[in-house]
Amino acid sequence: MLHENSSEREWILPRLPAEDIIVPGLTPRHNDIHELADEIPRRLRAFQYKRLSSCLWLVFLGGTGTGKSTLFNALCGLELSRAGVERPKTRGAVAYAHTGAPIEHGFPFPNLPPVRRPADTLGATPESGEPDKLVILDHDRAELAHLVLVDTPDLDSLEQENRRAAGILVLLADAVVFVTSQEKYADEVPSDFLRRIIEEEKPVYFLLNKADPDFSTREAMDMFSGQDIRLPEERGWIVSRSPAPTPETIQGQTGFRDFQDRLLEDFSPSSVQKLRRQGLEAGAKGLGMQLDRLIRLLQAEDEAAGTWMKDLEGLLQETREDLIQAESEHFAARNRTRIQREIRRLFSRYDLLSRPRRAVRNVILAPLRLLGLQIGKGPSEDGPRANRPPESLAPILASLDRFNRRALERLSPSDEEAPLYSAIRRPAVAMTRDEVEARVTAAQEHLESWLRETFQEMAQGLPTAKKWSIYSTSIIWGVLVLALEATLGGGFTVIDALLGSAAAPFLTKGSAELFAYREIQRVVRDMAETYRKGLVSILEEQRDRYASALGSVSMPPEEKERFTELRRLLEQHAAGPIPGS
Amino acid sequence: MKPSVPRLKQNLQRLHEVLEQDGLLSIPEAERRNALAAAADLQERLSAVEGEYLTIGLLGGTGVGKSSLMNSLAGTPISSVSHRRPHTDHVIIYRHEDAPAVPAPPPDAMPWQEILHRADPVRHVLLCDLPDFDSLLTAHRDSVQAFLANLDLLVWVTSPEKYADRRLYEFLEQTPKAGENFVFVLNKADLLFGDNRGGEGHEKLSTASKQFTGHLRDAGIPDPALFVVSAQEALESDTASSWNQLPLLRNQVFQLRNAKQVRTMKEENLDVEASRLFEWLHGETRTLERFSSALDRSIRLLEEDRPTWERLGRESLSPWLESRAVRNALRPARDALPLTGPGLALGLLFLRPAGETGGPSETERIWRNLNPPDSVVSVLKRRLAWIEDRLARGMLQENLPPTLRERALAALRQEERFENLGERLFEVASHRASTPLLSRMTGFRMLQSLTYILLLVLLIFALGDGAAWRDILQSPGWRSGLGLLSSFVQTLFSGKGVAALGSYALLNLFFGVRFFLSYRRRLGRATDRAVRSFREGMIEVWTGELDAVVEELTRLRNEAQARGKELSELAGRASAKP
Repeated sequence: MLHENSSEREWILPRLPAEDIIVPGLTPRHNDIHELADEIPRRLRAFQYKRLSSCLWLVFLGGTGTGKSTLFNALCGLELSRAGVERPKTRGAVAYAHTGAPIEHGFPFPNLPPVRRPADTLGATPESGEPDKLVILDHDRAELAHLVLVDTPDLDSLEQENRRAAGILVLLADAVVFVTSQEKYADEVPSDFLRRIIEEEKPVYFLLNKADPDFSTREAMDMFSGQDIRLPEERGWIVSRSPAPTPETIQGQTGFRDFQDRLLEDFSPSSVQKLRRQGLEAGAKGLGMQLDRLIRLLQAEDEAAGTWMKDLEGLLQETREDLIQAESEHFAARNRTRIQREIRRLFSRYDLLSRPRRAVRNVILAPLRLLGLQIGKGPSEDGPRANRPPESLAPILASLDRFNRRALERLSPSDEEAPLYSAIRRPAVAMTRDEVEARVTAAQEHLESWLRETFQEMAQGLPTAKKWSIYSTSIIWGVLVLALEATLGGGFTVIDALLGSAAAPFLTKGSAELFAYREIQRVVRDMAETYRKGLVSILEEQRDRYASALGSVSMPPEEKERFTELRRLLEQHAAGPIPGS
Repeated sequence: MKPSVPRLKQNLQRLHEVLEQDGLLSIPEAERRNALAAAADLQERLSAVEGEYLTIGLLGGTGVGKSSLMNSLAGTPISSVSHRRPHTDHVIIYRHEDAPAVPAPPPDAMPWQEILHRADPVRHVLLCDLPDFDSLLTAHRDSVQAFLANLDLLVWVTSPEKYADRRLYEFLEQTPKAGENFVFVLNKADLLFGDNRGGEGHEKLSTASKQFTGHLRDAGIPDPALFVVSAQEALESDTASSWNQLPLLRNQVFQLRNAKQVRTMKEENLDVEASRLFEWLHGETRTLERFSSALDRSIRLLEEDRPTWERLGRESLSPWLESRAVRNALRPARDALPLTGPGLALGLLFLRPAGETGGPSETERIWRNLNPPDSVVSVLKRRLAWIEDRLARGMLQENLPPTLRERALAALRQEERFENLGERLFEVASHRASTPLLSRMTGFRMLQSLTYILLLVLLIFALGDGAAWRDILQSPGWRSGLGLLSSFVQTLFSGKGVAALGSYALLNLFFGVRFFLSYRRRLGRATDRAVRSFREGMIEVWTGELDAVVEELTRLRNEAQARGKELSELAGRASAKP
């Protein structure tokens, strides 16, 4: 917000947007985002710096060996920057500025710190700069007090540092003096750079150095316009090749003199405010364009992420149905036995016959045991079945594997460099067998306790009449079963019928199913639902892990919001006054 | 370094074979064919190496004076000096009229234009003027690279202004040629001297060439052949300056080489080109290693799963095999019951085989009841499908290339397994069901007959009057027979007769029930045995599936390992310096 009274620095941005922007990389142009995210803060700092700086910056740019330093020296009128045959020659940027120019104050690029060289050493030995530094050569020439002249290292340099420094310094430029030579004007790298500068509407002064006498700017301009680089012809000058150029000999050339006159006229002290305003407007515009582009790209990523989440949800649905289908095959049988077991335990409390049956059994068995006869017992009900074998994990594990397979097949970005590509392949994303086992065990325990509680409630809620009817049916059923066994067994298996526990389940189960049918149906339904939820929650957890993998490579919305906010502030500012004017 | 040509040939032949056979490779088919073509091309060129004509290429940025250098090298103006417009879309080949025609360049190489000349000093070389590599039109960069395959000696031309351009070093790095066959020229050295040809110029010159050599060394050319020349000066005046190394350069480039030297140069270049081709083998080996270890993990998981695999089979097959339907289906047909008399009646009543009322044939009955139901088979199929999902997931997570993933999934032959599983389980059942559950039980049948006859005899004895029996035994004759018959009738209608008949009926029933029960017990035991044997047979089929899967995966892993070893050996041989 623009607060007239508060510190001037405050208005533009409370905090810079995250420099390490992270996006999933679902769109084909996601790499541009990083480039922009890298560039915008830099530009923003440059812009803020320029707002507060009262100087105009003229930056010399060009390829290696084009003679930037020579022309720079000529403009300054002194052998300042070392020129020579070593390539690359200028090792770091060199600025020529008035002693009073507050360049260091709030200088926006910490990795290119300005270093002042005392004025008295000027001209003694030409400066070739220092890597990663901006060497400032002081002067006290009043006519140049409002200007900062900068000689940069070569754009197409072997040294990456040089290219970087040139790229940074151009951000501070109010005007660019683009130097090329007859040999180099067709080179691609400097041309690309030039095109970008022109697109940003920075004033460009084009100097074609080391030209043969018959060469004309027209030719070079034609060549550039063939490459979509539109240079105004009146801003181009030719400097002829001279065997041993000195500032004096260069200044003797009409081409250079015209250039110099034009430049100093354009950048006269009286036009500083106008030019500053223009520069800031252009800066705001360039920044705005980049921000717009970044915001568009981020939105595209957001949309892609939204679709991705939808697809993930669809995948979950699909796998869930699959899992339910698989489970239902095991499900019915496995849970029916469990329900039956619970019912028996519950209703055996009301089984009138259980005690006399045990007594009769013991009385009759005693003499038989004495005779050495072994009477088999009925199958024990809570045998090994009670311990759920780990195989019951199979359906859920299989579903998870299927889910993961499909997720990697369908949801992975095609670009291997995309952050999401590796994010969803991290080992921690897929649930392990142990994790699944722990969750299934928890779900089953929950289910057991739920079942126990439900039956306890049911037992407490049984009306007395119902209890009595259970008693009576037990007796009737007992008689019926005995009769049937006797008939079928031809009278020989009556003892078996009496002793065998085979009848016991019939009795209790029969009566239970007769009278508690509705309740049991409800219980089974509830139980199925609880169980299903338990299983599905595991799939959902897996889904959430994918979602958080996406989250881990996405920025929170408020971070993105900051760019929009910045864009808005920038627009407001464009109409506002310039500080220091 | 002189390359060992026989070994290179051998390695290329080996590579050719490796690429040709239908073995495991991570690269897609199209890429494989490209690599194969490249290998074949290299082989061909290697065997066609002739030491007659040297093809020399001039490479350089815009405006470094390639054309003038060309002319001054040739001694006569064969090239028109054009320093304005870079030519970007074709190569110009200068050929002496007497020299043989230019060999055809690779199909994707840049088009070329031939210019005939009569400059005798360079009659034994083909001079190729290549487009400026730093010119603005970059679309042709690849086709320039492709054209380089034709060249034996590369002359890199630069100038005092351009020698530090990044482009030069980038291009240098991409060029698949032996560094021995590079010559570097710092042209336009006259610019360093300006008008005064004094000591300052020499100083500049030595600085520049030192700097240039340093850059080249950094770019991986330890001992560059560098010549400082000024083509312009040589063309303009007859007396060259002392620093102008043009004669030396001319000597180096155009020296008359004997066939063997030329051949060696060509072979050196091909060696470098081949080593680029061999480079991908290293990556391929690593990929195959990852592939085989992924397979290894899958196999280990499957082996760990073996107990649960078997138990799943048991658990899903048991309820069905123990069901009434299956047991009933195993019961013998009506006419096969070894029961007689009242026992048979009970047998028919209680042991009716299921579905017999509809009257289907025996095989149909078995088919209907012993075919595993879909619910059982689908549980098992799910387990099979899990293997595939797990394998695919693992490979996706490992980031293995699609070609190998598909290969591994194909090895599972899942479709086939899916289709046949139910059928093969049924085969086991139907095969075992074809032998009857119980033997003919002749003794059991005889025992029944004897019992019933004995009962009948006893009845007859009981029915006859004691006196009548004595009569007929003492004086057998028709009288006594008649007397016995009449005593039968009398007894039959007396209280005693009713008791005898009643006892007879009761005893018949009693024995019938006994025989029936005894048969039912035996039948039950036999059915249990049969069901057990079915189950074991089916489990065998089921675990057989696991074995087969493990076997297929093991085979694939072994193949991958063997292949990886083969490739890494080849890579090792190719990269080993002689």
